[in-house]
Amino acid sequence: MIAKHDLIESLQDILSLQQDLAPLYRQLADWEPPSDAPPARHREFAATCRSLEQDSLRQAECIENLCSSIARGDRNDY
Amino acid sequence: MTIRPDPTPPCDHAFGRIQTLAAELERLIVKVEDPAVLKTLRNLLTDTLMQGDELGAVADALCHPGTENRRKSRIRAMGEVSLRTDGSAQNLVGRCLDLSLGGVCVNLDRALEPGELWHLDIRLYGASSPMRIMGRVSWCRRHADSHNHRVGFEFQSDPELPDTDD
Repeated sequence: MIAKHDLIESLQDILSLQQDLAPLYRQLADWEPPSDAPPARHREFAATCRSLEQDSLRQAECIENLCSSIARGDRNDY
Repeated sequence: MTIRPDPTPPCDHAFGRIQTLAAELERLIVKVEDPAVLKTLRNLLTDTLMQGDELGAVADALCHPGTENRRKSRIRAMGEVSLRTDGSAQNLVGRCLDLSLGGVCVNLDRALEPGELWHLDIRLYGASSPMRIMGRVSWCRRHADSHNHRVGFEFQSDPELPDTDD
């Protein structure tokens, strides 16, 4: 069991970590490999990183919604 | 002498963040009892681990294009792996990252030596009983930004599959 205040605080820490990830995925998507890297593999890598960036943004939104929902709720323990 | 440019994408920072995020989620999961919140946190943890695995897979494919066929034969399989050696009380617990007919990749907080033999109990999420098999360490790589290691095991026998109701 965790107190509401502590749960929200932990979720905000997790949200901060999650929000750091999206720009890292974007940087990786924009990374230029050496000229002899296989182009198809690089395209796959960049596309996956862009997809991971979107996943990461969705996860951050999910955590924000969870935080808001818990903050609005009447319960004190979770 | 010609120095070839490094073909390895700079993923270490992202891997480090993913590991930290997963660890924070795991720490919170053990404290929460509310089923709805617990379900959301478990889904977030699974998604986070799968992101790390997906990033590792495409980075590996870019650095080592020849591994494509082997990579295709693997599946993502989330779960816990208990490891022990013969004649030792030492017991380790790691996280299953992917699985194939020939082996398993496990995330561990310590390095293992290639060639070592370990008894593996692989308990996949949703499975009622573990899969027991002997595995030989074939490779071990440390995440640059964390104390965790990805360890590849080659199965040494056919797995004892869990019973099913089918």
